Amino acid sequence: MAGETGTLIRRYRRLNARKLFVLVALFAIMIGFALVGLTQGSANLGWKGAIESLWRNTGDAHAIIWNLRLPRIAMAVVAGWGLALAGTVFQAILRNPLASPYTLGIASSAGFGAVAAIVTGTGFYNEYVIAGNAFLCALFSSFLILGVARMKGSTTETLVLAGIAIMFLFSSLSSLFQYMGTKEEVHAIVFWFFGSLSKVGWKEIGMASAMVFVPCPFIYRMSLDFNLLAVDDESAVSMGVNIGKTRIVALVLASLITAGAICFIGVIGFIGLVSPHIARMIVGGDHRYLFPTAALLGSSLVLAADTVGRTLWAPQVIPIGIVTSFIGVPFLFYLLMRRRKEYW
Amino acid sequence: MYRNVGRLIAVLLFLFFAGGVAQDLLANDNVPAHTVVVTDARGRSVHVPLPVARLVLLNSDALEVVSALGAMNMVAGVPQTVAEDPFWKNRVGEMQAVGRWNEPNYEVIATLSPSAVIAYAHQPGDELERKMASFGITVVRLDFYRISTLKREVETLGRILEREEAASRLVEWYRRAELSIVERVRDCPVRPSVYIESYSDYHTAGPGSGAHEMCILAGGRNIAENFTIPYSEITGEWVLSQQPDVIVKAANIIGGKLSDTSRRLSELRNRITQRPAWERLRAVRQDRVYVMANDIWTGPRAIIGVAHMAAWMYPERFRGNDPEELHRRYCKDFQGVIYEGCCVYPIPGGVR
Repeated sequence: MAGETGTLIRRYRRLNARKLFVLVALFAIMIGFALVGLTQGSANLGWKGAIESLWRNTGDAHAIIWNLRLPRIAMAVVAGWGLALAGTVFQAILRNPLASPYTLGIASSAGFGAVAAIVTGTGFYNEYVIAGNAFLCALFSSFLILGVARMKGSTTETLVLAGIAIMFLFSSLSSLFQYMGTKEEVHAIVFWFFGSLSKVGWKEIGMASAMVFVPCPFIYRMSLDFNLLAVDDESAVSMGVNIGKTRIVALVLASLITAGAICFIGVIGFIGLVSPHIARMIVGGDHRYLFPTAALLGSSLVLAADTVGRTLWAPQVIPIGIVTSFIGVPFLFYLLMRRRKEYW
Repeated sequence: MYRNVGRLIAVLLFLFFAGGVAQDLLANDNVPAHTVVVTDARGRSVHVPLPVARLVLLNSDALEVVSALGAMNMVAGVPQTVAEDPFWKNRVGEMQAVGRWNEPNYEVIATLSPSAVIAYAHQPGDELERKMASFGITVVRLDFYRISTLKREVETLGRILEREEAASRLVEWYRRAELSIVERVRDCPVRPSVYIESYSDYHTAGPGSGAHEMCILAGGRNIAENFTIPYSEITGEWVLSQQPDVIVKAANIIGGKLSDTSRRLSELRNRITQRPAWERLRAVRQDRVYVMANDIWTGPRAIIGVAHMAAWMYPERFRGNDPEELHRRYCKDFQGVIYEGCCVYPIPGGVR
């Protein structure tokens, strides 16, 4: 018996070591993508010049690296991290593989907030108004979902359905504003829905980072609760999880993260859906590993998409929202075809 | 009794025949005296029956040209957005709004029974022609936002409205304004490089856009001249690597009251000059960043925008030249309005 337990413990430790190795490898990949992104750009600084400009004040090159390339890279990391993490949280609390900031309508409502600010005029001259509106609307829709969650007899399916309904509602409201807008406003709205990392500076990154990273420890602390929720509600309750409170807190935190991830850069689709799935295929369903794996994957995907988007057709930039889908979908299909077991 | 029935039949027969004759006469009235064949913005030959008595416009630029040709009395329907534009608000009066430029209300158009509908080349789609054909309404596609085709389109509209003389006068005015710019910049050995930014931040206007044409006409070299997408996203780094001499930004602001417009335009300009690392741009260091409201950014008044661009690119050659004076003259002579606003920032000649 003791021997068997010892074997199990050794296997468990080996498994955890493997997962830790995956995390380290993914972190290295993310840094690698960031370095590639750092060295690619219209200014042709080259590898050496770009890296050197990080430390030495080399005039224009230093300014390009610190004020233009690094903010893009930092924002790509923050946005990818946030969207992937929020997607993982939504999938966990709703026990539904289709849940993501988009399918729950939170991204759509944030988009509506931005569109409303653009069309009413204020947003053109102050991107903080656009971001603030996006955040408020994201919170509003998450509270709507919360309201549904608190209804008697509400199930995870009800929540997903409510999310889809909210997504349609806010998409329609955005379309209405788009319909009412002038040609110029329609132009701006279309580009907002494509997503762009060109506009961000350190100030925006500071705000977005606060919204994305501050909730992270709180979410991570709930990892074991999410593991129990993944079995079923009854088991979770029997193990002492306050499932109502866990869902509500997680929903609010994930909404805050979603709003932070997209409010300055527009809509970047697919990351919130695809990253948790890929992460689950790699490290399984233990949320202690799933959260960081999905977040690192999300950041890596957005970083890769941004580098491809601004170098493939340079100096014209292919919007990030388009490239993320182009990269993410084939990658997901590849993993789905290669998988050997059910991962969800 | 029989006599009364006979009388009744006689009266009915009279009414029937009289009605028929009247209908024939009315029908003969509707038969067009003649037809004019014009080439529209899609390059198609369109047969327009004359005279055009009532006109529906889906294109606000077309409204401005119709107004310049003195044919506002023919306009029965206008696009929705016109009612919100201070330039038009008091001038379109009771004209029926017919929906959006790309999504018109076909039923409203049909009830107005216009002779023709003027729409942009590609918006709305072919359904406009299909739906209007069943009501016998001719659709003519004219853009009026590209400076390269503007004069030809004004002449085309002049023929459709039988206002050839007014059209010639307007075209001649355009020609003279254009010539005065072209002649001054023709022999310049080096063309200044220009970064043109459209309404959305970090989106430039390349070949295929109206603003690119304006830049070329003003004697500038668009740094996005080799782009394949008209409104492409770019990076701040690319602009920095190109070091343009001049930056021109489009503002989605209608040049209304001078004080209000100037404040908003100057705010927009400040935001451009304060972008990360852009203080290293030659154009920013030399204070050559300009903002232009959409009144004169493409459209029938684009030539005024071109005059501003030329003055920004070649300040020495356009010294003492005030493009806003050109604007005021155009508004007075062709639109019959006194224009006191300002469509650019910084304001030429400082604060007025």
